Amino acid sequence: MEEQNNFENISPEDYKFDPYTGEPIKKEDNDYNYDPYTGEKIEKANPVVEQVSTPVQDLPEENKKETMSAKDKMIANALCIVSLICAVVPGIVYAIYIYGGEAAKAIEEYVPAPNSRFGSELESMIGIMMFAFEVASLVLMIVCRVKYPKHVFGLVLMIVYIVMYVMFIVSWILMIALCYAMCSGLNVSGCPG
Amino acid sequence: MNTLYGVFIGLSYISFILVAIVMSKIKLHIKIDHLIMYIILNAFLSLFGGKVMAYVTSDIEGQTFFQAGLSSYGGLIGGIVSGGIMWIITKRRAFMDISVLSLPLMYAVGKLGCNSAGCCYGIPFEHGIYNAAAGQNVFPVQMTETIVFVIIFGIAFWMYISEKRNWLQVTIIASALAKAGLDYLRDSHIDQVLSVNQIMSIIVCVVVVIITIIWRRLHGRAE
Repeated sequence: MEEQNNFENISPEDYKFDPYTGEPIKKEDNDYNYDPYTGEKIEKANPVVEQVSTPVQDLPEENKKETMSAKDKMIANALCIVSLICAVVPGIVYAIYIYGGEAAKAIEEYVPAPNSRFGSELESMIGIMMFAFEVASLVLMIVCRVKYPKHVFGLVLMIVYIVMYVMFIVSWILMIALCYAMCSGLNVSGCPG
Repeated sequence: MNTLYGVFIGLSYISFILVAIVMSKIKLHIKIDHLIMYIILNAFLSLFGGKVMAYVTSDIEGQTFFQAGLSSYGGLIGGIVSGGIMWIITKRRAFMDISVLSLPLMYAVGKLGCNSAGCCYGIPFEHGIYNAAAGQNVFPVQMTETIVFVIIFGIAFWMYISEKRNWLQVTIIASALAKAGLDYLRDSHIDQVLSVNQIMSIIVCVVVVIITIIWRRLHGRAE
């Protein structure tokens, strides 16, 4: 007891210090490891200090699991599905318009031809609708990606739209290059259209 | 479509992408996927707006939406709407800043396309440049617009980087007034008091002033 209270004779090798009160605590045998070759004591790290130094809140953000609730998943899925429908509908409508027009020409002999003004306005309405639907599909995908960044369907949809966009740009560049090559060959100053 | 016209329209869009990337890197720090989505949305809305405006204001009988050209004011409205949509979704004004700041530069590059196509040519001017569509020497109004709008872009960029107040309003109003003023030097403006573009410019200036006043009353004088 006297030895334990006599702080003047404390050897740092034999004592550890309470992390909260700072008082010396004599090390016990299980606080040491022993060198397998020489048998000398090797000090263990203070388990109390280790526990204090690594609290749970220091873990990096990536290690924490973020799960979407069922309601969030349902909303995100709905956004993605509606976005996909909006992206596909213009193509279907335009195909119907083109093939429907071809069919109409076949029966033109039996049916009075539509007013040319009506025809151009119908085509314009379809064109405006196509653009509007494409913009809507993009906006819905963006809302899904911003509100629910962990949603896989949204991520896949974004990648699909980016690829489609890049393909559109490449085809546009190729069209310009082809037009230039054709016009240069014919010695005209510009392409019609 | 003249091939060089299409090339310059493409370059105009590339200039917007460069402005977006530079501003994101040096000041705004936008997430890369948000930036990509905004760039794509801006492309669609600018094209949509330009087509709709050109179709609505066209005086060619029977011209369809697909046959209509591209209106600069329609593209401007489309670009600003795309910035507004991203602002609402992400709660960040950064996208509106990019939309407005890139407008003068995009317009300047786009006017080079008009110059190459020979459209939107200037008033007859003996010491000007020969234009095949006009069949005579005309004032190089497209090149003048390019120079003026590059200067406006430079001033706007400096104001933005220096965090000057009202840089956004100054950019829009300066661009609108420059376009309205230079429209007097365009051949299509002969025999007109006010052209469609000038009316649109006046409307844009009035709308910007009104929105600024309303915004300041609602949110205080921080903006």
